[in-house]
Amino acid sequence: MKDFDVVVIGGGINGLTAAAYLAKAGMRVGVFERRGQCGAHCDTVEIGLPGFLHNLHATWLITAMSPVMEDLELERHGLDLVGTEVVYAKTFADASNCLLGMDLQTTAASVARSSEKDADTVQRCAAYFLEHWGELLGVMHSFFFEPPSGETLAAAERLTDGLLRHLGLHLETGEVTNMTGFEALETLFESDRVRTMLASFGWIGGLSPLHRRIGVLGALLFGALAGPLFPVHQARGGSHALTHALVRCVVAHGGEVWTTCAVERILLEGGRAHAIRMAPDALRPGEEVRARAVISNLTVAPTFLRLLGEDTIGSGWASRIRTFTYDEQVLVGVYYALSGDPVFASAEWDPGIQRCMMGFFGGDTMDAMRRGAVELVSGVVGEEILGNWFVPTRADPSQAPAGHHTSFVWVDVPPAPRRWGGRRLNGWDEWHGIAGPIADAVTGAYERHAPGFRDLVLERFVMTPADQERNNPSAVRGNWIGGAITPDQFFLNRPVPGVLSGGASRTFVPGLYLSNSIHPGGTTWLASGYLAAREVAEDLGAARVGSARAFDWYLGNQSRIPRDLGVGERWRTR
Amino acid sequence: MRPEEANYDAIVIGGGPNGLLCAAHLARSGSRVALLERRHETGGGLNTDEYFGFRLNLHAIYHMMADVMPSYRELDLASWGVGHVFPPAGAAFPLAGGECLVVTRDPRETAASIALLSEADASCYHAMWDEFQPMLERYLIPLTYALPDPPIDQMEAMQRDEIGRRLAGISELGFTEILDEYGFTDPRVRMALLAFPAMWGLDLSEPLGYLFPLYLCRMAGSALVKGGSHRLSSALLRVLVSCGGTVVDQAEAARLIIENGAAAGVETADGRVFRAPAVVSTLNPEQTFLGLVGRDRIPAELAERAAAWEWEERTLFGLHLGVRGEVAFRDPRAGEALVTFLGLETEDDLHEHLRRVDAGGAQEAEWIHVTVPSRFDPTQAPPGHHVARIEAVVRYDEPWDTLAAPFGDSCLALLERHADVGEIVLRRDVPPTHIAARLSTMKRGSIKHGAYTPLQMGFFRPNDLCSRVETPVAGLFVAGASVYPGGMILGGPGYLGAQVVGEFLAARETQPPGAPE
Repeated sequence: MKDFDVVVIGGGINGLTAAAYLAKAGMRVGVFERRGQCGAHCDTVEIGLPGFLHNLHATWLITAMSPVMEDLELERHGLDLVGTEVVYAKTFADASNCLLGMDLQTTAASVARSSEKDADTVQRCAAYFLEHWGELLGVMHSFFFEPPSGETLAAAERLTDGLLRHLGLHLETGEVTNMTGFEALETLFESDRVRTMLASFGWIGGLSPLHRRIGVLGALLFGALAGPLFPVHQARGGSHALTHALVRCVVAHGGEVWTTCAVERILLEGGRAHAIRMAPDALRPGEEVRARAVISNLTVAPTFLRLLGEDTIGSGWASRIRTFTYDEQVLVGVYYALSGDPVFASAEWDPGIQRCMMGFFGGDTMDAMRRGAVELVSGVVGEEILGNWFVPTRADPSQAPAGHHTSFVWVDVPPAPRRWGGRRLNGWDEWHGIAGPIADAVTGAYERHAPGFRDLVLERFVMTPADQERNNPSAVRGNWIGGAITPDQFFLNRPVPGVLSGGASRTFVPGLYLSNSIHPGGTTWLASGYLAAREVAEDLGAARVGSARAFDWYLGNQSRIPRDLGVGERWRTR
Repeated sequence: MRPEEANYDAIVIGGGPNGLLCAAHLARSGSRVALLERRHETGGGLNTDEYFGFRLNLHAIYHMMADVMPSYRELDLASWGVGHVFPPAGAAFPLAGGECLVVTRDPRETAASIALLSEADASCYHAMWDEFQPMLERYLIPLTYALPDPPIDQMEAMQRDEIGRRLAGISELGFTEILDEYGFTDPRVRMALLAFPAMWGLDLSEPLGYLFPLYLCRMAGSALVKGGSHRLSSALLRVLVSCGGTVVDQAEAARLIIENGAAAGVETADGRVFRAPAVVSTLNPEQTFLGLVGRDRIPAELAERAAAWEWEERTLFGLHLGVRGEVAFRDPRAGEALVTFLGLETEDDLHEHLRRVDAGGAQEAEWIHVTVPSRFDPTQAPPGHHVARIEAVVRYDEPWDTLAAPFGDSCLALLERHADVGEIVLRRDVPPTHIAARLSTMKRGSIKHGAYTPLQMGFFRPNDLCSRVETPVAGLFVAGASVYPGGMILGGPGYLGAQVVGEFLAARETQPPGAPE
């Protein structure tokens, strides 16, 4: 095989993003993917009954905020975003709910149903951000799309200081950011509906409210900015459409994408990464491909421990990398094909929940949420199902036959469970056996929040962490975000202190870059791939890639993104 | 900017193998092409669902033309990531008496296997193979990639040499008659050889004898696409995109736009408009002529023929398994084959079985063929696992909603009589109704866009007005599996489609300005 300027190991969405930028900059780029198709975590399959498309991994796409959207013209390459008017709905056992809207009015009106005071806080936050719009956009851009730095933190602190003063709170930013997400929410809001709604939203975004700092970020930033600056969409035709668009972008700019082409080794010359070697079962078995830069879109452990190996990096580095944990952001997914749209009991309280494609049930109080979060890190599968539910077909009816729907529920689980209910469990190897019973419990919880749900179910599939890892061994333990997001694996510390060298993606091995396991986490804002592309282009002496800023595309185009295509008009009137 | 807001040279409807081939060839020769696909994923019958490390090929899997399809060479598909895996044997037939008939691309090996059942039939096989091979090389393969001539011209062309005359002769025969012609007598050997046309649901007495060399010799040396059938379609897509082509997913073509008596573009079901002077439909004749164009805009004769299009009586039921451990045939020779046939012993068994299939009311599988792709291509299952595909010839009109699961159980039970199957961790029952719903061109679960009958083959596929790609509607072309030479990933319709459309576009360009269109 010919030589490339850049090879990318792993055709996930961030690897493809890096490849597309560099191909567009005129470099010879090759992407090598082990699976048959790219996008292991942005995958849509019509696995069972015909016409029902299931998004087995990423579903709520936050790509609209990304500069990638404009820089790579993803829309022209086929990405077609659709949304719902209500972004997120937490529903409660007493048949009430609390909603986050695409617009502030929806959110404020819903929060006011639970607490006028909290609604006032929400509105005052929004007013403050509106007043400091330019500063906010700048901080958001540099936080997600620049290498982590003290300057970014300082700017974020200034913004937060101002917000706290504006809210009349006598707190320093440092006091708030050192709280857990739970604590911060309790400081700012009085209603458990509002608090648990925000806690759960941050949590499903990968930022557990149990943690200090990142929990605050999840609970407050995501929640405060949802809609206006934290847009959540579906891709028409399923999440895999994002993968399609990225692949087409790479190829249209002359890049090559090789699937069924696992890489088994990164080869060094004079200490510098200069080639990769294909695995024995790859399409080009054992072949070596040379490149001026190697980007690994595998997570940090397989990159260094498998593709380089302890014999290459030395036992010191190997030990340090083994401390990286994958044991949070691990899910069981239960997927349903439905004969109709589930109706939540709380639709009577506020029918907005029916015009929403995702939400949460379980964890009605902060105590219950805390219990769930603590159980999780203790190796316990919670007795109460804390379920992140989706009805993707409310945004994109094309994902099911006419009049039908798909739905699924994700439940955070410990990857190696030690206990569930009365049962003692033997860890990771138990998944095959307990998948069915856990799915039954999830169906039962869904039924309690949406009576009649069970009767709609035509078909059900379960995905365990073991299934995830089998699908994508780089997602160690089935972790969905490139390795656990914990305070000691976040921002300047990500992935493991010292592994990166002078930037967001450059590693201690010259010529080797990471586009996974790095800041800010492997989600569909495509920031990790963007950061890797920027640094590789710089190091190879190419012109700076990418000119758009975060939110450019979204702010210019949000009004024409269709909403509520699959939702019946009957839910529009109160 | 969204992709539809531009004009193209050609619009190809349908992102199946032929649509992709046609679009890729056209784009590579410099045309601006848009490919419209109804589904969320291109590939059509070249489908591989990847599910937690298992790759399930729900439709096309055997690639009979892997070494002869001109597109592989012309588009340099190897450099786009298409590789083939050739199992040691094409087919195996474990029999009740402990024998196992094995058909490979080496006629001596096959004859030796037949000789264990019948010495006489082994000689017959040699004689037949020695004629079939030159038939393929001189006639059948080249003709697959050339526009069809009317039967009388084609017959005349075959009179040039002895092999041609023999081919013309067997073309008039049914499959059973061909075995008589070559003198086969052993009922087990005859069952095995007839399995090649029977597995595709063909009527064994129809005079389609020219298909026998194709199915027997090419299946004997058939290949898997490394990584799954979808790898072929995704490579074609990348060729298309790299040449500036546009792929539009979830764009269901609803109406052909006709201006001044000629095709001018396509309107989709959701109201998008794609304009081009050439429109290529790879849909089936009903969809193209009665749906996209509409009865009132075509000659009555064409509408009649489209309405009279015949669908197969027989189709396939599929059971797909993900297995932890092995799928170990007790007879190791069975495990060497791309496809292993189980359940029947003799030719009479086969005829009776097919009669029962046709009569309807199936309860359980009597005859299955099994492929374990991961035996030959380990990438198709996770380490330590295998993926198995079991198919049975069935009728479409069965109560599949309730029958699918028990029928799938019976397929598995039949397999387990011949093989030790590890722990099943994934199972998908795919009745033909599911295929029809997934792939709208495959009406009635069709395997190849419509029945293979003498009046729907060759120059008559889909009819004598359209089998050479052009249609009575100026600017509208057809190039799907319902067009000569047919389906089965031969790659003929798309390849020929690109040639004819390419010539049409070139002629248009050289037209002097102001000339009437």
